[in-house]
Amino acid sequence: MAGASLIFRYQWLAFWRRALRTGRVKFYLTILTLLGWMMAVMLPDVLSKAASELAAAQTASMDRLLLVLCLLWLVLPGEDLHISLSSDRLRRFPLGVRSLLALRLSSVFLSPIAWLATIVSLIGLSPLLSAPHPLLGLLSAFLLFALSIGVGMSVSQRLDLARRRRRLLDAGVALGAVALAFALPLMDYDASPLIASLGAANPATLVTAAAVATTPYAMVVPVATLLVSGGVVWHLFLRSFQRSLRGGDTERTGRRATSIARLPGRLGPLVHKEQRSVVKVLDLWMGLLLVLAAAALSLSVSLTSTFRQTIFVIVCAANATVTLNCLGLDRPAALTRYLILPIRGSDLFLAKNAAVTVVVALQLVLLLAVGAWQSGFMQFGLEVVIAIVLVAAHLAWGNVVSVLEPRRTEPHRFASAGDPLTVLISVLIGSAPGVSVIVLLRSDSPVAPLAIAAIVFATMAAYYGSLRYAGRRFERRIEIISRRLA
Amino acid sequence: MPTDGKHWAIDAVGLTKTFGTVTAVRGVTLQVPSGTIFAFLGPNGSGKSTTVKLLTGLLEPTAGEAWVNGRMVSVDDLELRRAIGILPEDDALFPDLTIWEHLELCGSLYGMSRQETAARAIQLLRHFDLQHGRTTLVEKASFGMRKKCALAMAMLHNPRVLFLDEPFEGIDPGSSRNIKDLLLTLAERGVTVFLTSHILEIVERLAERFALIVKGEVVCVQTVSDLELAGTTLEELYLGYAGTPDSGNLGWLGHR
Repeated sequence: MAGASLIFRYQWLAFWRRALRTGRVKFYLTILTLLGWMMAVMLPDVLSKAASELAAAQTASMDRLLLVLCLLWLVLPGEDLHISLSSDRLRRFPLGVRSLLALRLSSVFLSPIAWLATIVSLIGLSPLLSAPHPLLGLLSAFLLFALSIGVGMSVSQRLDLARRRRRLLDAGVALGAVALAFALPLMDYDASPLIASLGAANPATLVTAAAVATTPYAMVVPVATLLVSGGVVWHLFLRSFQRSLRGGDTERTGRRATSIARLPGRLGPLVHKEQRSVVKVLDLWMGLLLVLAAAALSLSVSLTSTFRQTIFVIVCAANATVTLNCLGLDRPAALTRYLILPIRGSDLFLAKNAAVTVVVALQLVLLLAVGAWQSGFMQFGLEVVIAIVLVAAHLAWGNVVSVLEPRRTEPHRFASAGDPLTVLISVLIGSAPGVSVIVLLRSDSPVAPLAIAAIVFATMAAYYGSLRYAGRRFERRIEIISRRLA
Repeated sequence: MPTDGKHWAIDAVGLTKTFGTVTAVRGVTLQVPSGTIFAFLGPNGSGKSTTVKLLTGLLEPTAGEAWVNGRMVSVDDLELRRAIGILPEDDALFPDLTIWEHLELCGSLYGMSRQETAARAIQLLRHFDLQHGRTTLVEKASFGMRKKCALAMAMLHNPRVLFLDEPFEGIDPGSSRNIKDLLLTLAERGVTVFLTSHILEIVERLAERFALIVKGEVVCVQTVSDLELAGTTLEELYLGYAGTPDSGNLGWLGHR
């Protein structure tokens, strides 16, 4: 374990050096300010309400609070930290599995977001002190957090293993789509059943059940459930971790990765390559999940055009983390190759945009087909125009941001790690033309068709301009971009 | 502007590149005749790769200019990129593509037909003993396989000037022999080869002329035959300019 603490010092040094070099510090500062402000405003009320409820053996507020904390610890181990001294690279040193595991766990706490989560979690447990069994409640809460971290670590570990990744993603999208299909109607008509259904499946209820239990049996069962499920999860994670260290899960054979569509033309192979890269960003899968859920919902309910168009806007906004960072998946060596090849910077961005467009087209095609089926071909045509304007506007702004604020994206992780303010402003800018078209389509103004035509034209002109600008800037600023992506 | 830019395959005058406060390359001036193999030598970090990047338009010089194949080097000259082949220092490959897909991509972007690309790619892969690994993803390929792939990509479009940064690094002896023979044949056919290497024996056998760069400055440009006339070897000349690093006190090594 001495080796682990020694390496952690270097891990810490490397992490902050990279954060400073790539501008990630700005992201941390923004997100800490936003989250810190939200916590400072909301937490005192939530805590006092939960405490008074628990004193009266009521658990609803505490259940919700614990669910949020539980989700936070579920997601945190998957945060893309770009750790330089990964277990894989450390295998060459005389370090045991325990040391490597300790390093893996401690690495989660490199991020300032994890520090904030730790502080908020500890403060968030204070209402349990008002419960009839505070110690039991605290013990259960720590077990719940351990369970969440274990699940998060397992998912993160499996996403790193190519063989299991696809199965995991497929299962995730299928389950997510089914869950959303059930959740969407609840959201649409009445919010309380949704909260109730989430509450029923909330593992946090085990913590509060133990804290307010009235019989010994009611005390033991929740704690035992958390203990056993946590034990199973951590056992599976340890096995998976050990296997990965032995190289048992790495693929050495010539895997031939699949891609969606092979486009013709000079840039076709480049688009093909980009497609293969871009589908590895999990954000795009979230958009697909939403569309699948909406399509599943359309089997039982006739979707309104407003509902479908709102989904278009949300999907394009969710994809913005990818469109805003076209170069994120490239490493400096790949950037050098782009320069060697006889293509302009604008060609490169065109190829990258074409790859994203193919993916977005696949995301939206199902919903467009539903639109054609339920609302007719006129509506289909209008929705195609909305989709084109949305995609072109997001790509246009995304190309500009990609060269001004490039940041490294790790495959099989969420790319939504950019500066939240930039992302928010960009989503608004990218969505504005599409939303304007949607609003104009609903207006009775005689100039609406003309205004829509003007928006389409302006968006296309902006897109062309962004290609030229981003391409030129890429050619001139390659050293700076390489440094940011290294 | 270089005085005689159109007569040399490569003609550089006063090339300088500064990164912040560090000057990586200072006033590099050299000329390389067409159809020759020119070796660019120097210790690690002396500015060889930066010079290659400046000569190929991958980097914009802070000062000075260069002409390659009759064209002034600039970062956005696509005609120049079509005329030259580059094997960069870091191979510059895409981890998620197979070796074969790299060649397909390359052929398409250089405007070659699929049939022509396939025919040339097969021949190059055979020459580099890489047919067995054509479906291997680059991220899974060995260092030597990646190097051969990048080399094949540099040659696929039949360039007039080849810039090869450490082409023999990590290459097995059989393939190395094939590559040497190929470079000699290319030079006979009028192709200019500008290569960097640390393997001085190969340079002595292959190159007609060489330049030595130390701490960003070219300290010597001459022909290999001049070495023989002067009764010295390339290694002696190299060490004379670059010096040998202090060996330090390693008496503890090997003792327990």
